[in-house]
Amino acid sequence: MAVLIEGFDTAHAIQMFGGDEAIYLDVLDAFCEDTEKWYKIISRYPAETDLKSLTTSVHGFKSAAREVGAMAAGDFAYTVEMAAKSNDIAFVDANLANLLEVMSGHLSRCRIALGKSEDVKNAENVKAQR
Amino acid sequence: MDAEVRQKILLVDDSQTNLRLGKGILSAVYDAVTVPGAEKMYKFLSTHSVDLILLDIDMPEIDGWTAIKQLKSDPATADIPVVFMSGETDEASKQKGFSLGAVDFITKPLSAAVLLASVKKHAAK
Repeated sequence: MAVLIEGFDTAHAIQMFGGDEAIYLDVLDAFCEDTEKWYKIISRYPAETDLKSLTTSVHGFKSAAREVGAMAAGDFAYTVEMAAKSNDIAFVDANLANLLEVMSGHLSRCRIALGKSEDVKNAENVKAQR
Repeated sequence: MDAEVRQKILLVDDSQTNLRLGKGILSAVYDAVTVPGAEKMYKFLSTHSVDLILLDIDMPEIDGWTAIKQLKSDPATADIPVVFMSGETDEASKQKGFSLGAVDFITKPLSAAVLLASVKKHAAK
């Protein structure tokens, strides 16, 4: 049985990868690296990050989240990306903190699933079964 | 010594998630090489030949649209087949991709079956 992580349709993602769970876990590890990078860029908006960089980072997170099966997070990021592309700053401002929270939560759960986190408080969110 | 030389596929994307996914899928059949952006792609191509380029669109600094224009304007790289891989699913983006010289446009999330079929079809013979 595939690894299970709250908020991730891991079975579907693994199926998209041709059924190879080893590839999925490697990609999940890359997703953690990317999400950490994008989180830093997004969290610095607007002080140090401009709207273009924000849009690119949110777009990157959206695509990567969908790759690893985090469809709801990807869909939410998509709404923020579209708002940023259409210069709807009010929507961006109203939803960015929530997006960062989603990113942080997914990052934490992925790290636990990969055995890379010391955050045992969130361990109940992850049910890894092989 | 291998009797058959594997075709070389270059993946260009700022997302490690996508690079490792593409490499993981392709490596069983192809020699898959990854670079994190267009600037590194140009540098790689100055010393290596490849059979196909998988190119992301939304990248910081140099985007995929700019990158393919430069590839197609350089005689040394103009004939390399380029397949766009993107989260952009709208028709306008696909049409733009083909008009700039791409041979295919596959959408993210990537499917192993679709990616392999596209590469098999378009990689330089």
